Amino acid sequence: MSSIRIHLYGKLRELAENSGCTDDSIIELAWEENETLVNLVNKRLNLSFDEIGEIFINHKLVTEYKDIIPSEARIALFAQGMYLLCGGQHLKGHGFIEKKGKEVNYW
Amino acid sequence: MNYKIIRVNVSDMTYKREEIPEKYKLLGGRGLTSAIVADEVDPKTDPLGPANKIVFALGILSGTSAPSSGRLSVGAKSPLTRGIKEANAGGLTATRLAKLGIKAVIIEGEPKHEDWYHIYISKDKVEFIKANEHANMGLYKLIDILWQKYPKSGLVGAGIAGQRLLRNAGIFGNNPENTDPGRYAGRGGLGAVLGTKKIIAIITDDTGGERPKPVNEELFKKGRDKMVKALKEHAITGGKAGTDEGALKNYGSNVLQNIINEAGALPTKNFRIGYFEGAKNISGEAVHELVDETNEKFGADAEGEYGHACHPGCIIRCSNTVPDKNTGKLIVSPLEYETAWALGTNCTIDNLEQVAMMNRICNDIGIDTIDAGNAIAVAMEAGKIPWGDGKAAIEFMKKGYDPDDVEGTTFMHGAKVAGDTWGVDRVAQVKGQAFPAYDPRPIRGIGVTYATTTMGADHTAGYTIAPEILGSAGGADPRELNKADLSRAFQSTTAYIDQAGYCLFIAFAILDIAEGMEGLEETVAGFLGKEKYNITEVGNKILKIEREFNKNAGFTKEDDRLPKFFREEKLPPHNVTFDVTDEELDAVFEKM
Repeated sequence: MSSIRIHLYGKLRELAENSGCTDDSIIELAWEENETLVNLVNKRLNLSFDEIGEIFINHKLVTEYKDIIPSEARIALFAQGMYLLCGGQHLKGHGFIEKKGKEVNYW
Repeated sequence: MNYKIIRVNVSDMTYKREEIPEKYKLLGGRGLTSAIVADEVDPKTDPLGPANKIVFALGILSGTSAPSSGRLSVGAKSPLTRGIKEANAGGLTATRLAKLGIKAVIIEGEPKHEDWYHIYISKDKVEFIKANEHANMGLYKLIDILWQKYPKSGLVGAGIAGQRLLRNAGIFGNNPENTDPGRYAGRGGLGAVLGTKKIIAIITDDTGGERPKPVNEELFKKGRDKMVKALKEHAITGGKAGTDEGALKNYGSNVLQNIINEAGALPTKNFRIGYFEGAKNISGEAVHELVDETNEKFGADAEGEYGHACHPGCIIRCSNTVPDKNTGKLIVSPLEYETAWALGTNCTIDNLEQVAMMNRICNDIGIDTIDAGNAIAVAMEAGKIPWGDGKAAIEFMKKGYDPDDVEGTTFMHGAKVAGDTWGVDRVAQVKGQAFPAYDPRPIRGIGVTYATTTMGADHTAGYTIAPEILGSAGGADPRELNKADLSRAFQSTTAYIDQAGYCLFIAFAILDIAEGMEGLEETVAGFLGKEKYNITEVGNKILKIEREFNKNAGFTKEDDRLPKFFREEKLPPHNVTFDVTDEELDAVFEKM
């Protein structure tokens, strides 16, 4: 049976049993055909996206939560506030911070 | 404020207090160091010769109540890259100099003596203090001795490596508590330039000084309040240490260790793989956990800390103190992402205590940790140290204390010299300066910055990580090769932030929150008394000055290239090479 492995970081490590910062904090779940990240996070992990920072699937940064999760995927979930460090988060479409007024154009 | 420049001439051990020339009045930080170096130093001069000068300059807002703005820039012609150089750091000196009304300190000339000196700067005088007893002394001991005599002073200077004129020597700075000399303007060998002037430390005592006043106080305060609000509001720079909120306050810049690892862009084993199994053991989370554990175990005697400020007035507080797990006492402060990567991941060392100790040795002997880590990796390539052997790496680094030890001396020259000396071709460097902690194959825009910045490979020169890291949607696609515009825009904005004296991490607040950008513009305009201050224009002007210097120093397009193996070797797990064209690299400055 296919599975997915979810690597947890920051506060989210609490979801894995007996985990610590220097241990692997991994949840292994059965893979479900055509499952989106939204379903996995909200339904199976019972988390809100507000509790999550950066997400990677197979070492690729996720910005579109409706993507289908592939079989045998490695998923990394970082806790809220754990993002790539530099300005321009909005370019990734995170929408985690309320934007008021003008957008800044890098170019 | 009527700032002055202190010009020290070590040829006759005199100094002058000069008015700031009109053309420099709106400059600060990197803008000022680069302008002075470009105006006063022959680009072709020997960086370790008498004609080179070293400049210490405040950011425009350093010493004011603008948040996180107490950076000090240091500039000279670099002994490492042989081009123009600016490096900046927190610490105490910028705010101390600001209170004394000193915008910059220029040190020039050729000593006619064999003695070592400190320069003591206070409200009424500048003194030269003979300091031969402090030569070749470890910096933890030195800063402790100096604070006993000059309590609360800002300290910057050259350690053992700088005094021996080694090319990876940084400019150290004491932290606000004086527990560590780890506030480094580390890159480019600037410590060696100070060493040529026979100066160990600059001691700044701001007793009797006063905080600089903005010309337009109302506008400045308006901008400051906006900046504070934006920094507090942002998910990365805000939050509170010890809570679930605030990545930088809880994990420091080393929050990136696990994130970049999951992105498959964490350079491992001298840039062979983009993923390191042991990354979690040396991550910001691991430091956080160690601090919590030792604080609980040792109570009031514990010295571990996160959410630590690197300079007075910093509200981002991304610094930390790594404690010894057996005593709770400080090993090193801070352990930053780039350092943990260079000394740990890049050498496949995943023992936190060993990495912290390696960091401590760098701080003690006075070298830049990024180039040091790359040099250790080169030593591992040469078979001098086994991969992943932290104990052996520590013993190897200790050779640096012995001036007669050839391997130790070679290591302290940095990765490029180490590679040339030990016959290792695989050295990740541009213009002689080693790569920081992002592999340019999956993050190509940072590769463009490494290649084209005047500074040598430097992530801070144009930090294009977030908008282009491998993503499935949104943002700049990192596989899209047209990176020149992105890199140029970031290099320009960075130059401006450096000039203002703000910490680079305000980038979150100014690029993500409109009020943050307004805060940046208004604090600078309010302090200077100008209505408008065009950020891109100023940033581009600084870049042009630096580019022109390097051109006149003999740099060509061929110097704006990454080492060949980045084009030829695919990096797992993404299995991509760096294939940005030379034309695209050249476009960064051709189109400016």
